[in-house]
Amino acid sequence: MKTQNAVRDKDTALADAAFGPSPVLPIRIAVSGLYSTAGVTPGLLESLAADSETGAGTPPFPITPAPSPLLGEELRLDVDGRYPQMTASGTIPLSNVQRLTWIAKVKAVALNKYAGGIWYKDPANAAFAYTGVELAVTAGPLPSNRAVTARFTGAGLPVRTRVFAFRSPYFHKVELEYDCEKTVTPDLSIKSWAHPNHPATLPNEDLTITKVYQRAGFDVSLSPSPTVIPPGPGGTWSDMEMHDAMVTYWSRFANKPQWAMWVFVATQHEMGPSLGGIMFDDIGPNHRQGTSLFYNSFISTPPAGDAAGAEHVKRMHFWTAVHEMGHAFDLAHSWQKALGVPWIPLTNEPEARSFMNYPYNVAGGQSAFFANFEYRFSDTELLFMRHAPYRFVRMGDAAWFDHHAFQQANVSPEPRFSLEIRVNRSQPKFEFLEPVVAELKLKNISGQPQIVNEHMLTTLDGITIATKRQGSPARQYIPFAQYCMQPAPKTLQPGEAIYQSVFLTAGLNGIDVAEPGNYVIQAALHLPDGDIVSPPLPLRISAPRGFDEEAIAQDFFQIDVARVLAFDGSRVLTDATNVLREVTVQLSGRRVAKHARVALGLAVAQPSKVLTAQGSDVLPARPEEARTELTTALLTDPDVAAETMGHIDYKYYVDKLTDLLVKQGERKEAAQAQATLHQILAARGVLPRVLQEIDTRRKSLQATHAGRASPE
Amino acid sequence: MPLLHVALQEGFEGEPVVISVNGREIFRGDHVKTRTQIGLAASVDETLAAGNAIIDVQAGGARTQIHAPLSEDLYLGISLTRDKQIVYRESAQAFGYV
Repeated sequence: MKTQNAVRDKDTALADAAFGPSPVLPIRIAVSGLYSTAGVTPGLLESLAADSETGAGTPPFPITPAPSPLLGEELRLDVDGRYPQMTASGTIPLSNVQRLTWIAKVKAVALNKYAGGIWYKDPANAAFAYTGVELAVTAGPLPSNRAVTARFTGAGLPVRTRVFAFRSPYFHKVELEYDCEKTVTPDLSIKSWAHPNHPATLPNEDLTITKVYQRAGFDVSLSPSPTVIPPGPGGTWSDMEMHDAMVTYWSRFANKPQWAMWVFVATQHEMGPSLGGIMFDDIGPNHRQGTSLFYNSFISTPPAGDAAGAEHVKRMHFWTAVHEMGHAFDLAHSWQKALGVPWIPLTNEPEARSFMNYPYNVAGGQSAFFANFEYRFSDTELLFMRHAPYRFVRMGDAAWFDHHAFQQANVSPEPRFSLEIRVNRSQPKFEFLEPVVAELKLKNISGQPQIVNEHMLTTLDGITIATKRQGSPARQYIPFAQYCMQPAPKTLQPGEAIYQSVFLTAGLNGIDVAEPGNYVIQAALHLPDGDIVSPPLPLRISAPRGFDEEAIAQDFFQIDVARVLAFDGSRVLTDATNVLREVTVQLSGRRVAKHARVALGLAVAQPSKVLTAQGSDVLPARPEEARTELTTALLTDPDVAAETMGHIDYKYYVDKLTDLLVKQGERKEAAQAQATLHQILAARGVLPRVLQEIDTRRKSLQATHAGRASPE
Repeated sequence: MPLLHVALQEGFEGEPVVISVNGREIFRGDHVKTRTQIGLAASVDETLAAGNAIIDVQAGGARTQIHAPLSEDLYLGISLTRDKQIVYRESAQAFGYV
């Protein structure tokens, strides 16, 4: 009995520290926290060392052999206590080295019962098709009595049931080490009411950095080995010197991902007093392990006229420490969510009362900020820290600013549309050098007709596409050409969709998807009522097959070659055109040769205007050459052609070939091209209305061929 | 004589930047990139005679001129928007970064 009480007291203290007693239902037992099935899970191992959760270098595809039966599943239930995000997330072992992360938005459907849709999976193509989860919580007074029965559901799938036992009121563990320069006494705690400018509803309490991060959901421990560090050379610190100090003095330093960080409190950065702190560790392969703050800087200067200047300074020291540590969790500044190359589109929060905002940049300045500041992170930041895949958040894992956007997508709560980016092949695997052509699909999933701009997928107006190679920062795809088209309103009936192909290999940002490796592509559409975010599309670029491919790659991966492919040919970029011609000779059996032939063929299918020093000139068509190239590309191995070019582009190109054949008076061949197109696309499950359109044209060509008189 | 402090802050992703004041170049960077964890890429200080100053900023393909009456110290924060337009803010106080 004594033992049980001790356990309960400890647990209650932990839960109170983390989430505080509920102000509404004080007798209700908080159920949020970490749960697991039987077996080993990363959450139980994650004190310091990198665990078995997927990390850099592991492919995004399910791996065989099957995971060891000794590996368990995790559940993070986030429905009560401090700042509940009404979210459940979990990890499921896919293999001995890789885990699936799923995240669901849930709502209470009955007492201690929650349900909601799974909106995020990583890796997205894992063999886990469940789309909903129902959670029944057993809220026993003792931790050992708490459990969650989870039922995963999905259309046509058998219900998958798992029982999770309560493990901790926190979602993750983290260890902090505060090392100080010799002359500095760090402010690691404050009294929340010490400065008179504070929210009236703010509890009057002693607040520590540990408590802030406990309330964010972390089981915080402090390093037993804090160190006093001699002053920096010349009295200031460079980033390199701080990194060296971290390597030397941090008792936990290791060049690997771990749930631990080093916080260095120093006098001044070499940049001078304008720098109050920095997450300096974007050096080397393991970012975000170390942060610093500088007391000989502007954060130690109170605003003019502040009667409680000393309290302001202490508060800024405290705030800066938590802020810099937030960067180590890969949190961006509140106003930066839409800057750089976000993982998914972001909404800036320039007025957020979050640790990640600058108090002096909000409307009304610092006094306005602290009048409403509750010493917390924003909801979306908490969602990220608590539920995102480990490797996005854990120190030393994903590179700084990589994936930071995950937390700030303004996802529409009741979306009217779904957006999908996909490739027309069973496995999203591409040959080396094969151009990556994907397909965007925007579908009306509401019960009402919706009006859209018919050209929106062509102009990409309001659409952001991000590409990310594993182990590299995300890049925003920007097409070579930005089309400015008069909006064409189109009514999409419920269930109806519009489609467009997109050439992802390269754009104005350079070569985006080409090097061998694993990539994830994601698109988002910004609408006034929220963002529509596509499921991530993982794809893989294969390694070169031989020396011939490696050799030609040096010439092929030039931006002009990508331009010629993107624009379906050129009459002026002769060097690039010659590279494509070389591809058709050297690599005639590879898929890239089909793309090259299309560009070479379409370039000469009709006369082309070109600018010259004297004005402009018209280069004559070379129809026979065009016909040869296009026929070889499109009608030899047509199924391969349709797969590598995508259904939309394949149809477009065959239509162009058909036009050429008609011009040459070859209606029989033109009809045959349409017949092949119909056959291939029918076998690939293309929409009936598209097949009907093709068939109509084929019949028309056949009829005119038979009559040899009337135009098509 | 007042100080003109020009800080290149958010949104720089490797663009070339040239800053001139009253026709005289005071900063040139071929590859200016924001350190996102502090929201700063580079800065330059220039002491000028009081009076009207024309600050010309070229960043990537964008260019803007800022007319500033200089009587006291001026802190000018230059940023690039997502569509690479130049925006700026003026302050009489020094900027702080964390």
